[in-house]
Amino acid sequence: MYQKRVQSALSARAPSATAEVDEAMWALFLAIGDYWMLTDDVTGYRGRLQAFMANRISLDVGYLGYYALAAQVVEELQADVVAPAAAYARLFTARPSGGEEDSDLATVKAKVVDEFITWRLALGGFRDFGALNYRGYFGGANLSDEPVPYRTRNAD
Amino acid sequence: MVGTIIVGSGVAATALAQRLLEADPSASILILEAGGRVKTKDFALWQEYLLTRNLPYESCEDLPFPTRDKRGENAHLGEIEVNLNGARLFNYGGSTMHWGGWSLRLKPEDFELRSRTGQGADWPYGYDVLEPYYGEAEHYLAVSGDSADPTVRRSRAFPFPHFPFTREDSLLADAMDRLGISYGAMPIARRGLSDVPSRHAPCQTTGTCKYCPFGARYVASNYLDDLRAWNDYPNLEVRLGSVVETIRTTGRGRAVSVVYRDRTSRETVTVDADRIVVAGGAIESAKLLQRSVSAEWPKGIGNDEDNVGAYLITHPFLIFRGKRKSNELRLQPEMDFPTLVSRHFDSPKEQAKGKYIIVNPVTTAPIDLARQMRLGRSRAEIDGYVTGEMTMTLNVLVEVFGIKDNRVSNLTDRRNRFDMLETGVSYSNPAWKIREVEIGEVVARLWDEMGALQLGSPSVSWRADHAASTCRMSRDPAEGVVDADLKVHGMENLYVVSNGCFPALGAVNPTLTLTALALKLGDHLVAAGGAG
Repeated sequence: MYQKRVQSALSARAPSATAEVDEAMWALFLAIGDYWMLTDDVTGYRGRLQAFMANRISLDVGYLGYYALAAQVVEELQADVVAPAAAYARLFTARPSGGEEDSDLATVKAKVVDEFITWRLALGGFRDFGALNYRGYFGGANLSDEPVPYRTRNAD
Repeated sequence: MVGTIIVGSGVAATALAQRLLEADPSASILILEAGGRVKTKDFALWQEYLLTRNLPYESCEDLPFPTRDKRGENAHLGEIEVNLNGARLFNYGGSTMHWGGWSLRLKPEDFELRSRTGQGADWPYGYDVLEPYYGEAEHYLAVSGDSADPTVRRSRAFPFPHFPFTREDSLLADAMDRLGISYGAMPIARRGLSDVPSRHAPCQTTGTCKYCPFGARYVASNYLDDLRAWNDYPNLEVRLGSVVETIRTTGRGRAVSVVYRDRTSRETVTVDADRIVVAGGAIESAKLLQRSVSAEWPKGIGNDEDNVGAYLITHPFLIFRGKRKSNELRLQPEMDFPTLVSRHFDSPKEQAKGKYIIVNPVTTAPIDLARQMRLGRSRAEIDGYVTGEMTMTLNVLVEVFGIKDNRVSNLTDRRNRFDMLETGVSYSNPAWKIREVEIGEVVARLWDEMGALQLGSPSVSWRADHAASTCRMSRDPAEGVVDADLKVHGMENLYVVSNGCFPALGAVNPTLTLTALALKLGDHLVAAGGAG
């Protein structure tokens, strides 16, 4: 049927990223905020990033490889430049084109960086661009005695 | 022997089953669903949707119509392409898996369409008969709405307060104020919080309504799961992957059994029942009656007058696009459902030409921050993008009238991926262009007031999301398929409950009205002969 999640004898032993890869992904996630000057409070984000990665791996175990590859690509970029921020910038602004679609950089960009961008915005990064709510953000319920969880017509 | 067989597992089947089981917890009910289960409220699947916009139930849609290069599914036989791809779903819970939740009541004049305009058909009863069931349906579907909205008379408040207009509504609302066009809050099936306990979570305004991670938007399978898992209903059974082929009758007046194919075992199974309710949607319900042929019903059950599958209507959905020079309010999609609807032109004055509603869609200001960042744009560039030139969208849903030659039928030589006979759709509407132009003139005034320019001509989708009227209610058997109690004319124990039963559709989404009909049918069945 439709279900992409594979259940097997190994399911109980859910695979997860190594500690080194996990650390590198957290650094990458933070770098997204630094590069785009996002001012959201990252407290609590690390656990949510780990849950996000675990969910991706649960649907496609290939994500274990994508995250490991991302850690490797970041390390290689950092070896090329003086400042770590410049390495991340090169990754964030990469536009793989003809003949490069299958490169490590392109794969990491599509499977890791672009997905982390979406997740970072959904966790709260969107606020810097003027809104109160956003696709993927848990804005909260519409309750009579509490603030409306989005900008309303007549609000300042 | 089963008390009641219900064909289909969408909102009509689920609301009806719940009604019957509340009247008699031991009622014997068998629900047959051709599709399989799609997991709901799964955070990994939700994330997948958030990231890719791929929905876990897309595989339950019809394929597009065949082309020279692709086999496709179904056949488009008329002048206008009424697309089935994306219009409905074959899965446990039916099309509620993807519905938007717009929950508007028909207006009193909609029940008198032919009497008032000479078009289409009248309902066999008036608004006041259905009104109490509308209230129940709003509570059943967990609708948030404005109980003070004067659009239609109501005897019961919505269960949850309406969602206030968004900032994105401000331009359109201001324009409508200046033009004297009325509007109100969209009644939307999103659960809130109240004193009534519920196993379902309130809407968290997550902006991913097509796959709600909390189940705050009504999905029938969640409610059927509740009935099966939490309640003591020992004689309720659901069989998935069960493709109903035909209904057998004895003599001319009584249905005795349902014949279905089990998609897993490939076996043909016959189940006898005291009562059969067809709740398979406007298209499949009609097709099932058509192919239930016997010596007594040579053209299919209830089809002596060739009304089964005929009078097909749906809503043309107009998408107007405009452009403003700047987005000084930084309007962005903060919600994934509309909060503003205008029923100004859903009025008796417009009825003869086709009523319509105007909706401010969630794509009004289609700012996509993630895409800008993925493209490597700098922060300054993105800030400029947010406040710069702004494209806008307005949606219009229009009423059309039933014409006998517009119909659905079985393609007897082709089966789809669910082992169901494919569908032929024949639809034409020569008068449509005139109405489109008239509506365009109103929208042009709105663009002017919003300081926007329209971009090109509107696109029109005739997709069959709101397909209706294919088994329409009538007092006179010559005019329709079912009577005012949804019983097939000439039959004593065969019922249809689907959008197909609507004699007229008005200009609004049908699910709330369908739910009201299902609850009304439940009361009728209990009163007529017990819960099952």
